Parts: sequence; C-alpha cells; structure tokens
Amino acid sequence: MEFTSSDDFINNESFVNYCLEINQQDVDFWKDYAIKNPDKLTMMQKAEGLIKDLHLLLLAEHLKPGAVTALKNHLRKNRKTRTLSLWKYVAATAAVLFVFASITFLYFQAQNPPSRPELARFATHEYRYEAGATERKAINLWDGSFVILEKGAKLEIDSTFGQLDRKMYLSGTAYFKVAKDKLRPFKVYTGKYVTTAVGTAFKLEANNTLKKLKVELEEGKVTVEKKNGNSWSLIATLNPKERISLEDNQHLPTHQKFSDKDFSRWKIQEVIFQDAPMKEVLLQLEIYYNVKITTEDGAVARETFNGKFRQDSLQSVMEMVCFSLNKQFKFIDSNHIIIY
Amino acid sequence: MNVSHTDAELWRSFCTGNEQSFVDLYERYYNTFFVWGCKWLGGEHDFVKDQLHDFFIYIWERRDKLALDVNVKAYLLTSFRRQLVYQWKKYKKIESTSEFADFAEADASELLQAELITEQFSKLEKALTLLSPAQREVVELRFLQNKSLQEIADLKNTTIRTTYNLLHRGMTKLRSEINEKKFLWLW
Repeated sequence: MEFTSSDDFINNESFVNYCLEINQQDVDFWKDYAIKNPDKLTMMQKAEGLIKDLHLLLLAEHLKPGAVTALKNHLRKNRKTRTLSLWKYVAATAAVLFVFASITFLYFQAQNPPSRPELARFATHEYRYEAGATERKAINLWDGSFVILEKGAKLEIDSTFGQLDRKMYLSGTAYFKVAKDKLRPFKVYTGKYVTTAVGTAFKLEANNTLKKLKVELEEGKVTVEKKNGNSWSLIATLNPKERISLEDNQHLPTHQKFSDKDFSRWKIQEVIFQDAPMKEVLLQLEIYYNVKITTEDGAVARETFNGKFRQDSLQSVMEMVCFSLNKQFKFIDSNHIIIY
Repeated sequence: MNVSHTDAELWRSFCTGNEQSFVDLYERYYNTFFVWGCKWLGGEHDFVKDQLHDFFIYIWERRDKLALDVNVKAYLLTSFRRQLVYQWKKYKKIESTSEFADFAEADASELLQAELITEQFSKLEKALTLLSPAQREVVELRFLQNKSLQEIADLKNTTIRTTYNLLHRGMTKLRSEINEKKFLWLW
C-alpha cells in the first residue's frame, strides 16, 4: 500500500497499533518502515501525534468523573476535620500523601512533632537484622519506623540511613510501618527493584534469586521502580489495599485488591515481646491490630513486658498485658481501647 | 442557567473559598493538563493523574495566599509543570536537572505556551463532541480500549467494512475540525 498523506497512516490499523503500542509486531514493522522511508517521516509524526493525543484525551475524559468525585470527597472530608484545630494542621500538611492513612497513625504523628519520635529511644543503631529460622523479628528503627521480619528474612540498613533518604536492603518477607518524614523517602531495595514510601505501611515479599517481588500496601502510598542499566524506571504506584506481583520476564504487572483480613492475620501470626518497655509494646499492638490504645495512668509506660502471642485475638492479648500491669481495659469503640 | 463564567471570575471566587468554582476550574482544565502531562513524561498516566489531584488540593490549601489578578491558564500550567518536575525528579532520582531546565525556567514564553497548549486541546476536545454517537463509540473502542477492527465488528455485530467506514468518517471529521494547517505540534 502507498502512503501519500498522514490520513493514510491514521486509517491504517497496523499503524495505530504501532502508535498505541498494542502489538510488538506492528511496532517493529513501523520502526523499520520509518528508517527505510525517511521522506514519510513528517507525515508519520503528524499521524502519530493525532493518534496519541486522541488516545490521551479519551483517557482523560474517561478518568475525569472519578477525579472530580475524588476532589469533592477530599473537600468534604476536609470540611469535617476543620472543626478540630489539631486536625487542620495535620490535614494541611499530610493530606496530599495521606488521604487514606489511618486515624491512628495521623494521631500518633500529631503527638510526636517533627523531632525524634518517642519510639526512637528504645531503638538500637544496628545495621544488620536477621530473623531466626523459627521466629519472627520485630525491629524499631531509629527514625521511628517499625519492621516485622518474617522467618528467614534479612534486612540490611544502609550506613547513610537518615541523611538524604532512608535506604535498606531486604531479602525475604517483611512488613514496614514507616514513620512519616517527607524529606527522607523510605527506600527498600530488593534485587532489581526499589519500593519507595514517605509515610505508609506495606509488606514486601522478595525473592532475590528468582527475581520476584510482591508488594502489598496497607495504607499511604508507595512507588515501585525497577533498575534498567543505570537508571530506574517507574513500574507502579500503589493505592491502599492494592497488591502487585513482579517477575523479571513479566511486562505489565497487574494491580490486584487484597483482603484486609488476610493481611491482618499475617501480621499477628507471631508477636513476641522480651523485656520490652510497655510504651513500645502498646505502640506495636496498635500497629499489629490497627487500633488506638490510650492509658490513663502515665506510669504504665515505665513497666516492661514479656510475652509471646500466636494468632491471638486482641481481646486475649489485652487481657495478658493488663494482667501484668494490674490494670483493666475497655473498648471505647471498635478500634479504640483505654487502659485504666 | 447557561452562564459560563470566565476563568478570572472562577479564580476570584475560588480564592475566596468557593468550592464549586474550584471544582469548575478542575473540570475545565483536567483534560488539558492530563494530556499535556502524559505527553511530557511519555506515558505515566497514573503518576500524572495522582499529581493532578495533589496539585489542585495544594492550591486549594493555599487559596488565601494566591494573587487575585493572574492569567489563570498560564498560572495553573506553570505551577503544575513545576510540581511535575519536582515530583518526577523525586520519583526518578534524577540528579542532574539539565534535562528539565528548559521547561522549568521558560518564564518569558509561558503565557504564549499556555495559550498554544490549551488552544490545541480545546480544538480536539470540541471536535470530539461533534462526532455522531456511533462514530464516537467506535473511536473510543479503537483508541481508548485498543480493540481491533475485527473485535469491534464482532462486538457490534457488524462487518469489518462497516466498522472501518464508521471509524474512517469519524477520523476525517476530527481532522477537518482541528484544521490541520493551523495545528501546531509542539512535541
């Protein structure tokens, strides 16, 4: 077929496939064609421009209603939070990245302004962590982030941690509850991939030998990038409750929704405290069970606690903890507990 | 009822805290900004979509600090472009900024550029509304959902020839509406 105008290109099915990268065969064909027919290049570019514009414009129109709704929802939500002055501050600074973050976490942030989080006091500056073959390991990093290492997993913290960013290297499965720090992105390297978060909670399953990675995001927002030679290319951005699985030979990872229940069940499979300060125990329980725990008596924080839980209900864990403290507890609502 | 406010009116109303005006502005510029952002970054639909949302929330939060007399188009486009550059660098960890320098500091021509960009898209947008429903449907199936002519024919229970003709007529219409000679391909 002879192509004498850009219309001829626009009306050619294979050419459209090339422009929209629908199939590789057509892409290869037209790349080759462009090299062999330099005189047609202007026409081709014009046609390609229109096709791509059209594609994007249709996509924009398709996305617009959802986007407008999202914006309106944000405005509505913000209106409610405006009544509390503390919330206003938090919402203004955190809203952009934290639209979906849990109340527990925001509140925790608000109580611990930019300075060092409380939790850091209990953290030790270690650079290499390894969970045992039979037991998990819970780690408090000194920026206030919290990590659960699954059995057999290894985590190495980069020596530059906390300077420009927060880098670490993982093999195996781990859960991260990231302390918010906009200026220092939290980066977990796993083989050829890097998962970046600002303040968020997510789980990574890395198999570096098989070059596989699975990312599950509980709250906040993360991006996953892959190394291509010297540069990184963006593979995916996740929304809360989304998961992606990546394999080396796979081109387009698909986002899937995952079940909240399974995620929570995984978190509480094994919870171990050894001479842990009560303050830390309570903060960890908040993370494990997605609840908020408050104490009426400040002295409680100075106690220490030993205990091992496997798939235990929050009820029975709280009973144990309160028994050791010689205190009582009650649920104020479904996710807020008070110890008195 | 059919009163359409000018950009300047919407802007002033938005700066005083009118949510509806703010949403109107978002709706007015959504398509242009989305298409422009995607072209600029060479894809990255999700990223652009998120940034657009974040950007508008950002200007909403700052509404009482904004100047009232601005060229809305140029102002929004310039600010959005800055945000994209900034966030993109953060995502991609681009150390050297040279690649983006031209875009980030082209202040002098910003107004002109904003005009060109919006003009270009509004033509195509307008042209799209002039398609017949059947033409529009085929165009969408082909260019948004990436269906082949055969698949569309199967779906609509018709022949591939009919599908081709419908698509062809639709595209011819689009082309004539956007008036190719004046059409500026900026990229």
